[in-house]
Amino acid sequence: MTSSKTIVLRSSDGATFEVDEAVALHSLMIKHRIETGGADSTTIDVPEVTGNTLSKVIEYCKKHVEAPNSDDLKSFDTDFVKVDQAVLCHLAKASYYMNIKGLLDLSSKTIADMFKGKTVEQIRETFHIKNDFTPEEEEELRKENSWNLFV
Amino acid sequence: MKLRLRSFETKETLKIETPNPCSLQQLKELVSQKLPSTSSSSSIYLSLNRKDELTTEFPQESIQSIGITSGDLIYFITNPDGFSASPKPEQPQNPQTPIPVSSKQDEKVNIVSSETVESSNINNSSSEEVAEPMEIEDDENIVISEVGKSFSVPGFLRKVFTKELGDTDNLNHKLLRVAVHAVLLESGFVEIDPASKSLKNNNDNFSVKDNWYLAPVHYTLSYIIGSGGNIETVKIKFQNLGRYCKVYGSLVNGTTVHSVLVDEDQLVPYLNVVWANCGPMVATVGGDNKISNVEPEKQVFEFWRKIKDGISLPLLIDLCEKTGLKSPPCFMQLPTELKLKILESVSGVDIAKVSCVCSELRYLASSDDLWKRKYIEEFGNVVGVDITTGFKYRFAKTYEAKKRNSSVASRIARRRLPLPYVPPFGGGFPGIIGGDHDLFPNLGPRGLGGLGGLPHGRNPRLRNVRPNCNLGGFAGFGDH
Repeated sequence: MTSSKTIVLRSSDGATFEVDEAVALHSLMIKHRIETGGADSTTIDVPEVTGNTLSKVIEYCKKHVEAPNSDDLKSFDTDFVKVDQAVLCHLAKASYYMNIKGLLDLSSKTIADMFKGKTVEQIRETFHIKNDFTPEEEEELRKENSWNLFV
Repeated sequence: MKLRLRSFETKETLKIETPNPCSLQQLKELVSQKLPSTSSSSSIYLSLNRKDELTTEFPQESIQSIGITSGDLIYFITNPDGFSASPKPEQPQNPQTPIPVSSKQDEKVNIVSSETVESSNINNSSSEEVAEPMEIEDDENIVISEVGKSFSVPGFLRKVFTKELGDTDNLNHKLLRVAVHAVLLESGFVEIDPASKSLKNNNDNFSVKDNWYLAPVHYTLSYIIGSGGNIETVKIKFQNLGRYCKVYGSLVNGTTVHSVLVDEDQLVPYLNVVWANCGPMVATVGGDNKISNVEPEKQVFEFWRKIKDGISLPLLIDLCEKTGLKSPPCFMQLPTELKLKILESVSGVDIAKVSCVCSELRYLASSDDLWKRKYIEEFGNVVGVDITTGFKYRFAKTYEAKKRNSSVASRIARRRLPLPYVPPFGGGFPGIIGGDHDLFPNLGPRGLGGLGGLPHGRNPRLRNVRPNCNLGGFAGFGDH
């Protein structure tokens, strides 16, 4: 296998991206597809991911494959996830489907940090979640969790 | 006969030999054969004067019948509206509808043809349909087709600025207004005329209406328009508060209003810089007349995130909920396994809060496995834990006990602070010596030592003192 082999990845909206094979293999899902795909494995469909997100994922993989031990990798990661919630959720989902451990851990941790130190109402606001409890259920929950609500 | 065909975009001239007689369709086919990147002859349009398209009444009619003879120069272009477009896409746009769209499409066609064939097909087909209603969707297509180069916030902003901002009156406010418009466009909203509930045509608003930038704007999603039925819309309002501007967004006929406060004075210079595409670093003179390097794009990213998270995403969720469409990407939309993975990184205390948020999260957060991990994380080990009652319960009990112990310890520490001192000869008022000493005679090593070691911090000598007696403002300093 020559190092100049490239793979084409196709997103759900038909956008295609040509990447080095080494970069594509950072995703275990793609690695598996290539290994089991046989001869015709130069174009891989990634229907769970949109073009915008796929381009970001490729950016991440490129950085991590080309310079895995560089000093600025940490700051790259920190800046990489400074995005709005929709993009962050897309990244988490994409890394989950494409089985990219580093990105999955990074995006999950970032989302988890968004829960830190918030009250129940603040959590609802941040993640736009509707309160679907009845007043009786709410009362029950309050009693159950009174140990932490005054933290 | 011999004809010269010149590309309107590239100014390249092709020499074509046509049969005699030749129909328009045949000529178009000959041209498309000569072009490397065009997909079909039906996407070729011809003109003599670079304004009006050449057409024949019947498709089989020969071009000689419309006056074309040997040696003529004919212009051709691969999208129908481009003939009167200015070749430079960055110029301020004149108000006619097709022009801003097509000049951006020129850019797109040139960029895209070297990247992906499929995307250019999408663009070409959309340009063949009526230009006006597709206009807003083309903005979305811009995003999709340039994806090969990775979506860029400043790039997208720049495009929308160029399209919407004509003259420079009251530019600051317009800039902010158009920037918010850009965020909403990128999220999939389309602007709608509230009265007619139809897509807004841009040739009759921005440059014509007075104070357009102050009026509220209505948006909806393109699927909603296409689906027929009741068109639900969201309304965006701007409230000018001096240096700040508050952006409000709500579902029309809805109850929740989402709002974001924007520091206009701080943001607008950066928006200007992005529009002018000045580059990654700009030296600015700060308030204290010091020159510092700022990255305007970072500030603009912050603004973009704020508006997206604060206005665009909640409105999208509200709208989708109201119309029964699938919800946009957000935490709750993630697969269950992924949500659980995220919860694993959340602390025990916060997970308990999460379980009060909604019924699905209550279910997810009740997993005993999850609570076992949290218990170990927080308290070290699970030796001696009564596991029949479930780990969440045990966590709660242990946590409460820990809190109680720590709060007792802190109460003891507090009690060591000076209490009103009563001399041992019994009750009465503290001696008036002067300064704080009469009220805090216990300040100092002797005083603190005298009270140390008592479990509830109560000085037995002070039993006769009414603890809430207000001796010059120190009420409540005794036992609580």
